[in-house]
Amino acid sequence: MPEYRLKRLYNGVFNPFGGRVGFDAQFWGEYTYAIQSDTIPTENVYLQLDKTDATKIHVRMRLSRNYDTFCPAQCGIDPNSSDYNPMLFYGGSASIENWIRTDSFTVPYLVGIEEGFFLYYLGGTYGNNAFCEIIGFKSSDDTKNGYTTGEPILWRISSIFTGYKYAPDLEIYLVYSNSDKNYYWCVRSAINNYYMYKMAEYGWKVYAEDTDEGEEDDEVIGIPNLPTLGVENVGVKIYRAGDYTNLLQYMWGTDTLINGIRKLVGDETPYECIVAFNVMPYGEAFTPSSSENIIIGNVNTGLSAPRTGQYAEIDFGTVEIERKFDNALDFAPYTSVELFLPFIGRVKLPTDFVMDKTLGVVYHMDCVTGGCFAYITVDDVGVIQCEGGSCLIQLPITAQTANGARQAISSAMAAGASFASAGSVASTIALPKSGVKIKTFGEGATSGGDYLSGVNQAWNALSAKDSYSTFGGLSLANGFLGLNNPVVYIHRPINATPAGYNSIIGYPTSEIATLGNLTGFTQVKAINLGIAGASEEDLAEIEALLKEGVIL
Amino acid sequence: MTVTLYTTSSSTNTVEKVLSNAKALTGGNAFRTDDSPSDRNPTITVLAARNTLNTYNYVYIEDFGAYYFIRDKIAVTAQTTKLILKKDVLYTYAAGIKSNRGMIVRQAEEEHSDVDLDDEALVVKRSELEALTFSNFGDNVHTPTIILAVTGVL
Repeated sequence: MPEYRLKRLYNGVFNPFGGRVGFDAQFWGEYTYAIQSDTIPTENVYLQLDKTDATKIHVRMRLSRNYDTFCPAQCGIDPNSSDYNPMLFYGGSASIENWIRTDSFTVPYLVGIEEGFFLYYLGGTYGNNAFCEIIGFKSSDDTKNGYTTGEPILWRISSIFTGYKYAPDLEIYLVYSNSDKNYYWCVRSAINNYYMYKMAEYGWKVYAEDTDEGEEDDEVIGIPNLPTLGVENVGVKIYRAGDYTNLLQYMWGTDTLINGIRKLVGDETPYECIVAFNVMPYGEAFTPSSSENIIIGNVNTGLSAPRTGQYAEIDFGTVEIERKFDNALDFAPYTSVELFLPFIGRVKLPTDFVMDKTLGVVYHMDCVTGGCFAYITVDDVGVIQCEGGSCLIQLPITAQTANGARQAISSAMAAGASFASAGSVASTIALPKSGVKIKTFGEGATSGGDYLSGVNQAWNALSAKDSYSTFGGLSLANGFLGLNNPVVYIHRPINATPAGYNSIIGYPTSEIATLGNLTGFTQVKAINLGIAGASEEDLAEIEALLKEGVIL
Repeated sequence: MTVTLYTTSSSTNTVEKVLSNAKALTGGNAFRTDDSPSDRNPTITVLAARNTLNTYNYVYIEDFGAYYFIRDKIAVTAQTTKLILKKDVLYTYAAGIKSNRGMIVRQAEEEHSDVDLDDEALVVKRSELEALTFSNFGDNVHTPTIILAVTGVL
């Protein structure tokens, strides 16, 4: 018994468009054959393994209805034969349609694979039945079947094996034999009495289908990690607290006006060391660490607050964008999807990309700049859209915002008031021109007297620091007042199409079919008619009627 | 010529008509009265009063092996009626038509349809709005906090 290495590619109800492909390693010992069939599927699902480089195999699926030329008898192979893979071959061009890249995985070994290979799997559901079958591969020296083709031909191999009941536990395996250096292809359903298959039993050359230029892997675009470099790397410390009253009192509090002014324009200007003083939403996202004393510049304030990081991620979760009509009305231009993002606004989403998908929103936030970046994700694709916004209210305590206060003080000084030299002691000075004597502020100074209007301006400016006021555009404040969770708004039409309209005008389709296999209203886009006995005029009229629509 | 009159209620674009009320006319009871070499739009005269033909709207002419719509009935005499015919190419060549393959763009059967394709037949009226919240709705409590970032040497 050779040693087998298995990759389970799929486990679960086979759904070519919504299916998933997972895999893990298992040991596989023996094959059995227990395929039964009684129904030819109308839709074939092909799973293609496409080797594109030395170590990767890509798994793709396609849906095809083009099975009617299927002819197992031509091959003379008994599909229920126990002495050989019941692979059924027929030659001819294969229509490639609706390829869906689903997943890729690393192949453990690729010994003997020269150019690439194809394996097809036919599986799916038909009515209450499930069909699953190995399809095949191109073999250039498949002597057991008598094929000695020189040039590679894309064999399209189909199967009549259907039946068995629904296979909710369907498992598909790619098996690599470390002993004979071949790949095997297996399907199993334990519930349905273990129907299994093996493929590619012996050495086969392989060839690669030409892929469209520019075709690349559909990789999921993930949300990046939070930045690891920030202001903390240059010595900035970030504190998180709900109330900084004590700090403000420390900075501006009950001190004298003169000391207050010194803190604005003198040698002790702690606000100059404040990089950010912001109100941030979603405060819980900025996880606090241990409390530390707040150190501003070279001054230990003696006040403490928990430290936190500059960046935080908020996962708002996901939402299913479900179809309602199961027809074209679920897509643009009939249906439109908008997403409200807190602190950003409404974002219009491409309906076709998000319909019948799971939508997710993750925010990355920067508490220093207030920047917030929303990643909008869709399953199987990843990030499909990014939107940026700002979500902070900046408190007017920074150097920039204090500039107004300094301007007020400068204006007062320009007015000729030399109060700065008065120190902390109240004094009486004479104005240069008029000689009028006025009294300056000082410790113990009380209101009243001939106070300089410029000083009042400065005092007013200082007083303003203790009050919150929004900074920046209105949108920032509006963000605080608005919804704080994303909301999806779906504009759906109201379907006024009468029931049973298909019997009169049909459903849309795009397939090539023999008209005799159809019933009811049928409209043909193109047809190359050949009818014995019909005149040219008759054929022209028939074609015109078929293009207008007939009832078969 | 041998002619069979029928009544059909099938639509003109139905390939295989449902025929009833057959009335065969043979020998000299039906004869062609136009001189066109084509069998597409013949005119025949039948020995029957116009008012006895009211229920008939379809004809099979065995000599031509073709089915015809009766486009008009004109009383020639009290006992003869002229029938102006048009060939029904769909029913006449039904078997041949059904053996042909074509690219289908509309089809009545759901199993042959792709309902995600654009469908100009759909009729819609005003839209309605549906609002959906995310799974973690409410988990991210909008509790603001104050962030203080400072530079310091200690």
